[in-house]
Amino acid sequence: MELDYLKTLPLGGFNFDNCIRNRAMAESGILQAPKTMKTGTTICGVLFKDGVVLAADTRATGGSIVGDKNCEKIHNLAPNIFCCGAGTAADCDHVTEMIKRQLELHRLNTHSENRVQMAALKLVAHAFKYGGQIGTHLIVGGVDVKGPQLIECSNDGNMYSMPYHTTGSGSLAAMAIMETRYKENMTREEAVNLCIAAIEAGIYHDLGSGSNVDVCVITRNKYEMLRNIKHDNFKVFSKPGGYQFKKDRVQVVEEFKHKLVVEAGEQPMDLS
Amino acid sequence: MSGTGFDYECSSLSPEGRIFQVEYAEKAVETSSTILGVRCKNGIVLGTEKIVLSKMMVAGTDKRVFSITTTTGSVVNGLTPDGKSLVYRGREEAVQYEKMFGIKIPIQVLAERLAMRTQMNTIYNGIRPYGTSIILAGNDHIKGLGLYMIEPSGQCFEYYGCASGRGKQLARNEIEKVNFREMSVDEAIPLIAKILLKAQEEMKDKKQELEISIISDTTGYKHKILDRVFVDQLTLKAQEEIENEQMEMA
Amino acid sequence: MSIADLQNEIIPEVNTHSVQTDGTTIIAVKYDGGILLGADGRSANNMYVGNKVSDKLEPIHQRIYCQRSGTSSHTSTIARYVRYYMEIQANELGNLPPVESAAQVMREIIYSNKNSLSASMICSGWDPYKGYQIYQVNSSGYFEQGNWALSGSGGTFIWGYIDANYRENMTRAECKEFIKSCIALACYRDSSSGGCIRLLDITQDRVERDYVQYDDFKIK
Repeated sequence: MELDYLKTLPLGGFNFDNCIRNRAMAESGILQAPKTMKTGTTICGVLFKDGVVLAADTRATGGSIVGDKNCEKIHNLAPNIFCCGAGTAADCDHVTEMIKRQLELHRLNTHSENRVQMAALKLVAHAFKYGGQIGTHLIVGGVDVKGPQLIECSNDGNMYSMPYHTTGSGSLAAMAIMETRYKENMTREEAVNLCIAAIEAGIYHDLGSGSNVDVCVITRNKYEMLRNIKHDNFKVFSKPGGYQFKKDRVQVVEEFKHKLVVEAGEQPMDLS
Repeated sequence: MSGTGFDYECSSLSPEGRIFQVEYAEKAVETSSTILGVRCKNGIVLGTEKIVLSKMMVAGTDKRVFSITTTTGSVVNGLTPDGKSLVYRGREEAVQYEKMFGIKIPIQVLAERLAMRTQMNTIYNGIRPYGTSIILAGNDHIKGLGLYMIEPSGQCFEYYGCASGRGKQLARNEIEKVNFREMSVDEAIPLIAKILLKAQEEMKDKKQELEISIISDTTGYKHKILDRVFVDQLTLKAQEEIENEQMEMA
Repeated sequence: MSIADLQNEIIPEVNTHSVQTDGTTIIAVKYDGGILLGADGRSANNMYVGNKVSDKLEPIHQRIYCQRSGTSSHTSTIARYVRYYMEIQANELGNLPPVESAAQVMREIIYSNKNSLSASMICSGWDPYKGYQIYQVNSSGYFEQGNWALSGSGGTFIWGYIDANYRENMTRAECKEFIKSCIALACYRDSSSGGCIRLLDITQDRVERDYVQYDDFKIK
């Protein structure tokens, strides 16, 4: 039939072909089924006297290879809400982007500030729908009408709120710092230092985390993104003078010269 | 009552703010047999009268009183098939509610849902309103006894006593005269029979049949449609009484 | 092999680190003039305590509460759905919804999704129709009413204790001490219960919360 080709097209949704392959490989006893890849991260969040501090490391890994030495793990959800993401980087990026749009629409429709609770519930509802298949472990923080809020949302669709949270492969190291040094009603300075210490614990004791520390401080009507506030592992050496190549390394085959003529006519579109 | 083009469907109001299809449906109810329900001391009585259409029709086949659940009864008039369809809908609602919430549907909720269903038929193009009034009576453990009447417009109220149909005015007057709320169901039944017969005075040359059902403590608050033979006896007795009264008056 | 089977097979491997379970001890007891609910505060991912002060007492309506045990995300989602249905029913009734209905809705949700859910919950509260009621809804979608209910992994360790010490018509203070000792005992023996004790008192007129720190646990 003419439409037979439809059957050869890939189906939408999740694909479990590899599961069948892995089973076959495992059963054969000769081949080894590939292991699931895990990404490492340390992220944390702390409530302080009049706001929230979120912090993250900046290492992105693919298996045992560091893919990006200085990536951003603190995502913006709304002017007053930020979130740290651990787990699958692509999932974190796309899910937060999607929720960001929804929150913006809600903000425009209601002429009011978004609530952190709402952002968290949206993230959790989305994650739950996929039964943990979407690798988003998030710490959502922000300041809304109810004051500073900090909520953790895990990939299986669970959320809970505490004064301090850590997630990611380095969470145990970070939690140890939090548990010993957290106290109520900290100043901004103390909170930032605590977060840096917690993330550094992750950077130095967890293989999956590394590089620098990013911090985001959210207070009422204001946020501050402190990128690479600590950069112990910053790339310090670069070749003086950069890399120079001799001109004759490239062979010129042909040369063209055109005169560019600008004629009077329609004005270009104003894009400012 | 003339529609001047506004009476073919109920999706638009007339300039005077009326929906003629609904009014015509009410007309269908007003010209049909009388139905009534009264709240008594220990229960509720529902009743209707009807003209026997054909001598060849088996007695009792033209039913107007239905059970919706074991504890909910109803009586319909107007276009009885419409009424029947509403009763079936009610049964579905009741079953669905019980499956979902684990309790018997409260009579108030059932009435509201059927009223909503009736109202839905008054706003869309291409369907007509129900040409029927339905009186619901029931008992539940949420609010106890309840008597409701739904009209073709979807209007739904709770009553101590209500009537609809051809003899509704007379029936309402009679109900108001008697203090049913101080009376037991058993005492009320003969009076109800009399009221129903009086209400169809102008049709008295034709053969009449009554249907009566009760919900009371004597039935364990279950809906019980009274036995055919018993109701026929009741009808004869009531007819005699009415004749005697008229003789005295004369 | 269907995709659902594969998912069931694959997901545990992928998610062992992340699925948060309320290992839990939860208990509800009727006393003279009210119901007391108690729960521990530990939520664990495998061997890691994800939350040591979690709130397993979730409101359904003004006088109906549920307690959650099983996979945390599943139970909190079920509670959200039940809350939604109860709100609708309450509006329709124009009165407080029956506890029985909340339990039925919960059971229906669990039963119809029991292959993909891990949830064992207790639903209790007061309504004007049947008074104080406690329903236990287990993970297979069966529910039963009783004067007390017990669930969660820690429950195993205190069944006998409750059988021996439960009396009908306890006073509020007696009941509180009873529940405290039940949960403290369970936390002592069960690795996935601990943290703190959260208590909730439901009576006709009010709902009141209480909290016991880990340091104040009394085993004897």
